[in-house]
Amino acid sequence: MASVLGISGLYHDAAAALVIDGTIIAAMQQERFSRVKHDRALPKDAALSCLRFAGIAPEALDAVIYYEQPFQKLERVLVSTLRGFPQSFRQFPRAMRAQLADKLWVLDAISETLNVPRRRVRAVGHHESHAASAFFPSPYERAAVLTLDGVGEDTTTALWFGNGNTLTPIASTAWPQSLGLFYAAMTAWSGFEVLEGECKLMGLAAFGQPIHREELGRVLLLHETGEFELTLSFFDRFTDTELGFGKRLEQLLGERRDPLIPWDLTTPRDQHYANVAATVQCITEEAVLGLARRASRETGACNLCLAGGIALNAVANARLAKESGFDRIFVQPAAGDAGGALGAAILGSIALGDRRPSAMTSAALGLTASASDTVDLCKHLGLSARRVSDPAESAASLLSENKVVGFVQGRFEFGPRALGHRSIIASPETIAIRDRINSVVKQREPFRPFAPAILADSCSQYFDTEPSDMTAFMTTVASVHASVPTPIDAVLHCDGTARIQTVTADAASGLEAVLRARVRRGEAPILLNTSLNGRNEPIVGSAIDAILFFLAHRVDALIVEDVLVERQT
Amino acid sequence: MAFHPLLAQLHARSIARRPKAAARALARFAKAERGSMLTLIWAATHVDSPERRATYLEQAYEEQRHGRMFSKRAAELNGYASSEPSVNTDAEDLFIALGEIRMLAFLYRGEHRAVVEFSGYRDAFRKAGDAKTAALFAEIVEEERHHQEYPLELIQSLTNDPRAVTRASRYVAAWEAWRTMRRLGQFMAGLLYTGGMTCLYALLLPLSLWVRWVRPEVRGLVLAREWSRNDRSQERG
Amino acid sequence: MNTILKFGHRLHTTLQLLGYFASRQRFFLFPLMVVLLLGGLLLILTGGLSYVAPFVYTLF
Repeated sequence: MASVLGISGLYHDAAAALVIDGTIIAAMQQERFSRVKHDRALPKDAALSCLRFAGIAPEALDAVIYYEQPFQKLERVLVSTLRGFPQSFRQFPRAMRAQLADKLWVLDAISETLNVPRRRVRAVGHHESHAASAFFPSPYERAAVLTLDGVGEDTTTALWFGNGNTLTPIASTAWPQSLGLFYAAMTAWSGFEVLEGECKLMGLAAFGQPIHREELGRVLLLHETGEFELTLSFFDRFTDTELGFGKRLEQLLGERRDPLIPWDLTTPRDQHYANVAATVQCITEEAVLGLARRASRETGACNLCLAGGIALNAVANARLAKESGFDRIFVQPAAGDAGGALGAAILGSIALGDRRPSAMTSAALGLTASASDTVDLCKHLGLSARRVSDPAESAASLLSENKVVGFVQGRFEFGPRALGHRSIIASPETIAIRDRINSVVKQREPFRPFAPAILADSCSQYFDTEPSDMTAFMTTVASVHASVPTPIDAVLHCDGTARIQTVTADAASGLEAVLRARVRRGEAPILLNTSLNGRNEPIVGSAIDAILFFLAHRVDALIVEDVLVERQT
Repeated sequence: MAFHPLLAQLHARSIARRPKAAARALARFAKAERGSMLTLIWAATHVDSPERRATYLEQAYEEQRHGRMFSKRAAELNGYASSEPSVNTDAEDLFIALGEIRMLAFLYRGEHRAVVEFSGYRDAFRKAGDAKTAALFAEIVEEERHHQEYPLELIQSLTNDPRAVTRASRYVAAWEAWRTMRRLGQFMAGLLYTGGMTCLYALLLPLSLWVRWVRPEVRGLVLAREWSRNDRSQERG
Repeated sequence: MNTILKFGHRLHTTLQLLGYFASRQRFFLFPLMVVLLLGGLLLILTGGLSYVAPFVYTLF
């Protein structure tokens, strides 16, 4: 029976995850504590919170596993900056400084920060962590596993075969041939912020047509073997780590979009960017499809698991579900680097003789928010707060009045999606509600849709899909039926799709209760669900975060456990 | 970076008639406000007293609001309707670094500085005919006045020592001076390092050619040595 | 005591690092590694390594 803590960090999305006796006990991102989005700092708060939740001291840990091999990383950095001579002359000093500052000494830093003996701190491979985070929490005994991201130590793409307690590497693609960097560079070219804007590019794609296939086909070549090849001259061989692409790309597709100009898709300029986005999305889907089919041929497996940043592309995942030939697909909700912490912990646990975890049914692996803290804070801040006997009923009642409600129930989620534990919920019926949420809270670009949460047993009434391993975690999209029982205009994208969450009591009991309450009132078993955070902020974690959100954003009400906070009119 | 009041006045006068320069300055202020917001959120998380937690949270909200106001005005001065608040920011957990009393002294000094400097910016923009930016600074100055008052009251109530404020302020002044010197030293060392590494890199041409020879780029999928087709699942029959 | 322990850890990691680059397929990088470590030591002593601005693309 081993207690293993997994750690990811120092690049982006630092996180910690705790596995005890093969059971996932807790997993949390550092940003929920520091309130710095995509926080890269060593996740001390997240790690200590995991341990406090489990009631164990750091000294009791059998192992702490870091999600990447620092020496292999340094080797790749040296080799790639030397290969890039002389263009990498600006990169070299910065890269060396970054490596020598903290990355090389990360295992020592973990030992010192957590007060764990150094001999118990180890590292595993980056893509191995990703693969473990996808396969072991999946419901599959055997599966092909595909990991796709910017780059780990040296690998950018990897195929694996997962079988029981083992993960066997099949094949990999090395830096700088990176699908993740391609998507990130196109994100930057489109005027969005890297790490933040990839989902915006995905949303923008639905407003365009993939008419630049020929041009982008010269940038990203796809082979029948499932392999892809980037023409690196378009990206200046990634020697500019601020921009990520070169003049040749701008000569091909036009100038980079100015990030500060507001979007207007009625203009030819922005329509062009939408068309490029559509083409990028299309070619990326084809690349991922090719790799998935290759994984299928290699393994003969019926199931597929995905991880790495590209796995967060829900539109591509939907296409995989339809066309890859796999029966079932699982994407662990924290598919990015944060999930690496979970994968590392599981790998460490298995290495110490424990079984793999049982299938993940809920992403709620964080801390709860304190109702009493909420009451105290509201009292001192002059906010109107009262305890309610049935929070779900109260929420449903507010939703029926077309109110926008912040909803905090249970443990916060692991990963970038709000799945009913830290959500803003509203009725999905009218565009007016969507526009209101956008103007008072999110201030998003006009092309970005909100997503629906629907009772699992009502899914097929509205969408062309049954609940699946992906719909439970909002990692895929589905098309809405031509005719639906009730209007859901607020949650539909322009192409008639939605990134749906199918809700069950196991996964999100609080949200499920709200949906059931709506049904009892004769209302639709579906609502608008978006994450409880302001623009460019991490999702809310604690009661303090929730109250600060309520002060700063004019939602109508906030429910934290059984405490209802309402705005006094 | 905090300016000396005189320097701040000179800076204010130099940017008040130049919208792009003013926008850059306002963006920096937005980032600083966001840093203050984080410091106060962290303080609210650490402190046990619900009353003080609410006080820090309230100031965190106001700092956040100031940051958004600065960002919005910066965008307008740049000729855009919307603003994009920066995600990256520098902030320190002063509650842990200094302890609560000294953190309050730091807040007092910081807010006092802000009142003095922002008053100068307010006057400069008013004189330059930019009433909107002047009004922005005026509104923020009023709130910062409260932010500078309550820390002193809190120090008194927590310590019951009339000399606590002076002692804490002196400590924080010394700490800030040391921090500035340290940052300057780090900056100089960083410059020296960058220069040295760049020179070193220039000498690495022979090694770079060798690397291209022994470690050529590999394209496509490379099969792993451990993988054997005998491992293929029998599921597909 | 803490400082001595930290120094011990770093020294151990440095030796492991040198051992990693002393292997046959990486030996050509060994001299560069030594120079970089010496440069890094200088930077640690002057405190210049304490803060490195984040990269837009987190490749390093």
